[in-house]
Amino acid sequence: MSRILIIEDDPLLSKMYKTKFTSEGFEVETAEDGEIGLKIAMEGKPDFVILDIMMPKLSGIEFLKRLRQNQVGADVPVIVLSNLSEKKEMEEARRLGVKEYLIKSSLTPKDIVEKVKEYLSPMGYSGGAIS
Amino acid sequence: MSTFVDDKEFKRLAVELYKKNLDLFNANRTLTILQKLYQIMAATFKMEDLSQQYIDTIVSDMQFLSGAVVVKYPEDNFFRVVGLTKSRPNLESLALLGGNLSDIKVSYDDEKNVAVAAYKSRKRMYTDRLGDVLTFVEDANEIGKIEKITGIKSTVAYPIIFGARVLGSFLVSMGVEEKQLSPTDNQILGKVATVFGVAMDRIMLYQNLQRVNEKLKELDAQKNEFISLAAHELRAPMTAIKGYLSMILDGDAGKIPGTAIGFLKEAVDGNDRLIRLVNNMLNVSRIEEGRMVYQMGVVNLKQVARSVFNEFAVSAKDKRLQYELEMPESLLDLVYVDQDRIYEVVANLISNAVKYTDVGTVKVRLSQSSPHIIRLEVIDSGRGISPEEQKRIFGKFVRLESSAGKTVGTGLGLYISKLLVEKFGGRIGVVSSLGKGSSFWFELPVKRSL
Repeated sequence: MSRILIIEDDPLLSKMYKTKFTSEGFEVETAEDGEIGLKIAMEGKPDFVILDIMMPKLSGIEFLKRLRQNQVGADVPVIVLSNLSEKKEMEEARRLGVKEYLIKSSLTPKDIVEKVKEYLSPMGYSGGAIS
Repeated sequence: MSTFVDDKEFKRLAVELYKKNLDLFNANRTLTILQKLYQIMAATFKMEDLSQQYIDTIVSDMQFLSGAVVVKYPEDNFFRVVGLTKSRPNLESLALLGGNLSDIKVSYDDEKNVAVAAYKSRKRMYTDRLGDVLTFVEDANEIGKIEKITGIKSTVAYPIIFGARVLGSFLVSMGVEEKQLSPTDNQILGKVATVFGVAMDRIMLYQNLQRVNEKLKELDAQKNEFISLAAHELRAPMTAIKGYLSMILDGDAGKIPGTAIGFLKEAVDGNDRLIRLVNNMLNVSRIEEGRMVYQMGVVNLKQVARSVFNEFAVSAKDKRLQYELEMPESLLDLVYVDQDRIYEVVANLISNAVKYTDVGTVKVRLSQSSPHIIRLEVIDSGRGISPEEQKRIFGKFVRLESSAGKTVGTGLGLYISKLLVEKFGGRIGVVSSLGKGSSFWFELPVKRSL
């Protein structure tokens, strides 16, 4: 069973993504800001991180910088899921090695689950669920 | 033959000539000083600078001993000096009084003061006693000393008036009694006072305008910030609505009846429209405030046109439209733009055409009337746009009568397209007549080399 960490400060969205990922057979942990997210990520290395950008305490970009500095987090796969479509953030996130930078409002939870599955599948490509 | 002029007549003519010459001289003096004052007015935007330069000009050109300008401060109803000639005797006197010009103030009620009297009566006032000028100096000995230092015998004060308002007063002092001031000098001073009023009013207007402008800028920034914030705040709940609706539609909550699926799909459409609207609003404020970051590069416009064209092929087919792309191979089509943004513009034009055309054709055409310009047109056989509507159509939040019942747009698409095309150095427009379809076009400069 893949363990996924969702870092999202909006409780409505966090709950929704958690519901969807859980129903798809993932083990889900959530964090309401970058700081808590970083702590969870360091303690038990997740298989995948879904990351918001605009968050209190520690922004998504700052989270990524610290995650990458640490050996534990250097290679954790991350998908950014944000409503912030500023090119500056997008480029910075790419530089910090995120798999994708997705715009929340244009995707459904199903779209996001499918993206994650693509990256987690041993073929490195889309296919059935792995859990 | 010559005309004989006798002695008496000769003298009379000589006197007349002298008088005319004097008049001319005085007129010239008046013009010179007024011209200087106008020049200062045109180049000065600060009250202190204007007052100082005016009083310096008046005193030096008319050879007075000293001069000053005072204005009343509305916050405490006291007069303060905003200009004073900086002659050595003046500076010495100032030092005697404590050295600080900004400390000097005269109450509005101090009617003994010649400047206040001129201000209140709106008339020229004069005094042969320095004490009536320096009413703020209590010690008579000090006034005596200043009299000695400066040599001032009399002072004339003029109100500075514009329209119905008194803006301040100015004073000039001289080493003779007031009655020795020539009628010409008095005339010049009267004219100077008028110009002073115009100039001071102009500066006050300018300063007010600046204040209002600052305030407006502030309000505008607040408005934009509010829109951005509101839009951002709207996106999270809209994303949640979209997400949950899609989960129900995907069957995550179990099987649902067909009617409910239909309703839910309508809800999804409505919500998607809201999301588009909010995204467009954010884009508009980003572009308007110059916060939009453009990834400028050389782009192949034919490729963009082809891929956007293909994107809308399905919707055009669904509506059974004749859907065509006309694109001569020989076109010089390299343009310097942000690829994603120009894609957005083309998509906006094609999607509008497909959306608002019920029967007939939608045709996308690329053409070139000169090697320097490439033109893209989206021609439809829809119901056309009236000349009045054509004028407004590229504005913000414009929705046309002819699009009634098809309110799926955000009213911002063409506005954003216009901002973007102009940003890329191009032009955008529409050719249309009612009942005969429309052609939306834009032109961009061709980039000749990579």
